[in-house]
Amino acid sequence: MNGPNTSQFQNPLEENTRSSKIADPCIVVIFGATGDLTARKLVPALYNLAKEGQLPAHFACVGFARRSKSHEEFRKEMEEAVSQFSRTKPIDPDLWQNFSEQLFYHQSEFDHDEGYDSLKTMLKDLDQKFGTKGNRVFYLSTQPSFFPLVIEKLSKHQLIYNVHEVQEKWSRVIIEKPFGHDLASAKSLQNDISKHLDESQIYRIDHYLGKETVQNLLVFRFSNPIFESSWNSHHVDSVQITVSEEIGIGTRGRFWEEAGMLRDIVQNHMMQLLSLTAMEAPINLKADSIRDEKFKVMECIRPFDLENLDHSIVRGQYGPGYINGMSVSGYREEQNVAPDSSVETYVALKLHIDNWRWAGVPFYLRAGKRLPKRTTEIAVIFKDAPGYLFKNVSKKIEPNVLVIRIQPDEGISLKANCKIPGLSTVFQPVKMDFQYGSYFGSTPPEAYERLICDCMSGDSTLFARIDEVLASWRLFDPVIHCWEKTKASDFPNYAAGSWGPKEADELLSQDGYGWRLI
Amino acid sequence: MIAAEEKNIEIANIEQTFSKFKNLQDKNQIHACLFNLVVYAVGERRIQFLKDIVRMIVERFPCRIFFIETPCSSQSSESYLTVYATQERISKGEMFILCDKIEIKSSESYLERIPFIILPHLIPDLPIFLLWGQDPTTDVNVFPYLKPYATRLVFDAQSNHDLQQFCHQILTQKKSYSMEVMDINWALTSGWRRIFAQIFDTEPKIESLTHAKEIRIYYCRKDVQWMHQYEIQSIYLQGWLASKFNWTFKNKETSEEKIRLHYEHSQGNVMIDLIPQHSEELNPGAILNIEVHAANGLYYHMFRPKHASNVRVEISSSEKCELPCSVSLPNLRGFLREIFYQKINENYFKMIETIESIDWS
Repeated sequence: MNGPNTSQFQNPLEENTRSSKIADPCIVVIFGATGDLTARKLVPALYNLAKEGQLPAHFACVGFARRSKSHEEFRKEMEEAVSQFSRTKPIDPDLWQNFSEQLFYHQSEFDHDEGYDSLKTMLKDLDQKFGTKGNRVFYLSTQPSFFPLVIEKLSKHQLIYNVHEVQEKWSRVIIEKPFGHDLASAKSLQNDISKHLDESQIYRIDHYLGKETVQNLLVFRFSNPIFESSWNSHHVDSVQITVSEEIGIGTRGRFWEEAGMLRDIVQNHMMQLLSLTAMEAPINLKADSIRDEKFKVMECIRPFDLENLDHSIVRGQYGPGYINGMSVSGYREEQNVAPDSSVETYVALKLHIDNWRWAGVPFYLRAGKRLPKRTTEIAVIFKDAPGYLFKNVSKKIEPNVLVIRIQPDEGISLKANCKIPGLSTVFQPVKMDFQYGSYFGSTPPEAYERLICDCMSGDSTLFARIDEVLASWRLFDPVIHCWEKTKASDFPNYAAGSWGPKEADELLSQDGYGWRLI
Repeated sequence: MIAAEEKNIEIANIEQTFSKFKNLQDKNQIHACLFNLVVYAVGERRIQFLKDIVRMIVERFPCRIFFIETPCSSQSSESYLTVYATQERISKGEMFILCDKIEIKSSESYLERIPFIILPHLIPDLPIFLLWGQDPTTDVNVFPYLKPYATRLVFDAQSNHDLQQFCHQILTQKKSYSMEVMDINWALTSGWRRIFAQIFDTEPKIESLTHAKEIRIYYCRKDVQWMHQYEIQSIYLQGWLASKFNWTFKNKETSEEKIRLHYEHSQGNVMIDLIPQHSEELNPGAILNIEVHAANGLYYHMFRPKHASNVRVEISSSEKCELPCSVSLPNLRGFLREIFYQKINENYFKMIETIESIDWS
């Protein structure tokens, strides 16, 4: 399934199913190729796509960065990276041999015109050698501040094509998050890049959307009427979405001081998870049909009451504590972090989606660093059984909970109540559990594999559209500005290794709820 | 029986270790878990006692076990923190049930880390039961951190050498417990309480018990390392009767042969004797026999023939004897169901209030 601006030729040998889509021949150019993301995620993803036979036969990859190195040096570095970070190990030497011959390196500063000219020449040569037909994916794995510059240069040097003028080949740009750091900057960035790119050429990556269980959410919801029929305010009591990490900020102090949890995780990943959980069924599986429904969810979210912000959103910052039995320092003691920093490493919030499906159902979201474990999950908590038939039984009956585990241990579980065998009626909650690894015998593809493959195929379903992004910024912009004006006087307010500040518990307990223990 | 074990593992590798065990599972083995069980044992004596209880639990209710062992403060001054991952195997005919167990051995200096080791490994959506071998009312390191997540706290009056103080603490902290609580000794008397309810099942019989003259409770006194208060179940049972019938405590006499308590009711006094007896067959502290001289002249003798699991009840007066009957005491499974699934009711707290007023030292 290829997007616009691709060749009109429909290969009769291609099977037109999503699961076996074949990407068009293309060259992937990675800007910022000496960075962490390229080594940890991008090249290992390309390698695994090659291993799975999902990479087009006519393919090449060029790393573009400022440091000087040869093709061989770059290939060697990438071999080490793939050996370390690939989900499939050990590296297949034959496969690597073939794959590495398609890897190249181009050195230039991002603002040097000569660098783009020489890149253009190089890409033309590679087109000839590998038959990549002029199709391009430009992956901007750089600081966001370079996005407008790089795109402008690419446009100036006709490395990206005008979709209305060029039909026989295509060019797409993948942009890493964050897309702006607030509403104004997001709009500004969009203005800058839309001078050179059509929306159909822009692929805003949110790697959560590439995760197998996130994609399974749509399949699960819309192919199982037994669940979809109760996926609404008549049956759902509340929804909790958690993105929890046990690691701290590591060496990313400088980045984190500018970003914070709200920008890094909540505004993008969590809103994507929320919109997929809450959306209506799309009319078809086309990218825009799905993204239309996601956008509608964003538009229905009730804005925060800035007069009573504490009743809806809580921020936290980790102090010293214990992770895996080891003592760890607090956020303010991390490298490149101000000793009086007010940046949040934890956010908990309550949202309401004011539409027919979700009216009255609170959505509780939390994201944090240095929490007890690494987990991302969506928990749909159903209402209590009506009538309370068993009210004279000793124990309180637990509500049904459907949990979609995004990571780790991808899978789905359903908590139900059973009777303990015996003469009296005593309840015990049990879990019906489905784990991807157990059922399918192997770990699912990494998110970046799916996303890069989709971009090469022209499928933008799993990429964020600008209206979704701006809607999310509109929601959080006032909070960001409010927090920037008011320093948090109680930071740090949770110990590393605990489940967050007590204010986050109070956010739920004020409504009679509590956070799920995960 | 242990199916797999790894000692001294890195705390970060706990789940990996269990995944490894899972990969080694045979076809006739099923991995099961009904709840999380966190056991806290202080001192060598209590550790073995609690291990035996855990073994009994796991054989009937497969669960994920967190077994925390720490020495008494007076013992070792050495600092250590080690973690074992074990898979317990329980035979069920041709099948085996496997349960995960995380053993944490810690010196006092590392106790504050223990909640942070346990929290990430609790199985979500399943109940969390705390089996506390230490007085939970005085624990500041582990219990307060697990309290908010616990479904039920199971504790043991043996953990406090002063029963009166223990009762006082329970009553003081009753409101602060968001979870259900269950006292092991209260659960152990449930069978006898049920027997009383079954035998004294009419208004005249209740009336005669309300104004009883004399009650003797014989309990098993068999010296073991892990127990120092053998009379607790007996104290609980008589306290239950006293609270049910609003008897007013008058005084207590203690001798080597027995503890004698005097209560007053509307028709006079009732004297209750708690008498130790040796029994090889039964557990220390278990109630062996009960004799009741009721107000209407009837004599009830409730005893366990050859210390069996059923109780024979003989009712007689100076003129006649009724046909004896047998009533079963709950078996081990029944006891465990009581511990984990029955709600503790106000009768327990009323009983505690009654015995709290008495100095048991």
